Amino acid sequence: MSEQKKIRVLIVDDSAVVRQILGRELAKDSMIEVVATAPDPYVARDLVVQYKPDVLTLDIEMPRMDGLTFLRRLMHYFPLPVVIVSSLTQRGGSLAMEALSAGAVEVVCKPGSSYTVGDMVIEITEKIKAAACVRVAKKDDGAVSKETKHTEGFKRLSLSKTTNKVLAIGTSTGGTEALRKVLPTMPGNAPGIVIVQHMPEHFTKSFAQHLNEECEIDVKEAEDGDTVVPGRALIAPGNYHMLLQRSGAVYCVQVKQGPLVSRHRPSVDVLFKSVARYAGSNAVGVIMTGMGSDGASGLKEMRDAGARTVAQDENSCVVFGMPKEAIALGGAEFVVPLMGIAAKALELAQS
Amino acid sequence: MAYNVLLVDDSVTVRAVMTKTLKIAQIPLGELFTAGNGKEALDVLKEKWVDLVITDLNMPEMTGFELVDAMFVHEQYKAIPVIVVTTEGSTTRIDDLKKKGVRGYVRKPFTPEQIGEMITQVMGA
Repeated sequence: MSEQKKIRVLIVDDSAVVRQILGRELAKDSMIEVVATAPDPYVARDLVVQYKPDVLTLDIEMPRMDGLTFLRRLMHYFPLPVVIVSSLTQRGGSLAMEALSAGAVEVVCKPGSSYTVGDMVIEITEKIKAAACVRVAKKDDGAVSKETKHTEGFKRLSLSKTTNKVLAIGTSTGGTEALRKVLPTMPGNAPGIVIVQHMPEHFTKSFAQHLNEECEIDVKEAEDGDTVVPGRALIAPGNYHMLLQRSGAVYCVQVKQGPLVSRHRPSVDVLFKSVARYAGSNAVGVIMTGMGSDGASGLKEMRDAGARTVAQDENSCVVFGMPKEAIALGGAEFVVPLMGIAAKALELAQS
Repeated sequence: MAYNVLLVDDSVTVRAVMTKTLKIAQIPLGELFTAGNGKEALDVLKEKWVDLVITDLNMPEMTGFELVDAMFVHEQYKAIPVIVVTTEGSTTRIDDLKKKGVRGYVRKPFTPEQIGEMITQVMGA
């Protein structure tokens, strides 16, 4: 992406107020140009054809044709990076999950009581920039059932001895789908897993629930004090940091608020640094697809503390940002494609 | 805003009449695609973004019934509204189609007003 070329954005939202505010606020960013706005999917389709935008923001809950149907068809006929704008409801979270598996690259939530327009603008600006770097492949023909595809080519791994290890994973853009490839391959006795996936509050809960259905291990959104035990993965809740701690012989997590770290909350750096401190050489760190540099210095600290570390390789990343920074800092001991990450992490946990 | 319409009928004459009808009926018409049977219709759907399918039932090679069946099991196509325009009079068969998800039914011969009303009703605008 050249420095001069602006990211051309199309806003699709049924609310005129949202279109106006979002259009105005996004236009303030020197890297973004809002080429058009659309109140419904029919207009949006025409504008996609006309303007060929680089990124589309899509309200997932709209009248007439719902956003999800539009998204599936868009991915089929005119694949391009899509950032989902969703409400903070239970239904919104679950729709957002479906949207991510239908090919959307990012999710942001609409402003609400605890979340101002200003917060949203910062977040959506960042995510549009991340989305603009994404290579979007044409979605497969919809005739194939979507459920069979996720674990295809990934066979469930096995682990001979149970260990008292901790596996820490950090990821951002593209991470939801990457985790849906890695976690379902984990055997039921896999080491305890702690995960930071950059995602808004509430969505992490739906995400954890969806993963839980697909995995042999238990997957849950972390709550303060949850123990880190084999066969269980904890996902940091959106808008909270998650830290590993030690309580006697067991590991547990602390979930807390606090300022943004490395521009994120939850921050991968916060998690990794706590893992470096409390688990040291008993940990395995994995950094996967995502824009920016969150987690890079944390992974380095883990490695310096004796942990084994893995970064996802460029080819299999949706956005090669965080792994790239981690590799540059010398934090990554191994660079592995997505397909091989689970196996590598388990192998390192056993060694 | 305009709708992309796929017209499926084995008769060239009917397709021509229907094309004119759509123009007279003042439907916001975007691109208009045509197919001579269900199989051709599926080929069009694969390549083109279609908002509405208007189909005959009795056609050679692949009938409208088979087209509807194929569409409603397809992840992308099942959401596309279908209107059946046919001489088929059997109410049980029509009811069967409606149960499957066909949104509208117009009996041949039709008037532009009937078509226009049906499209407006089905597209909900």
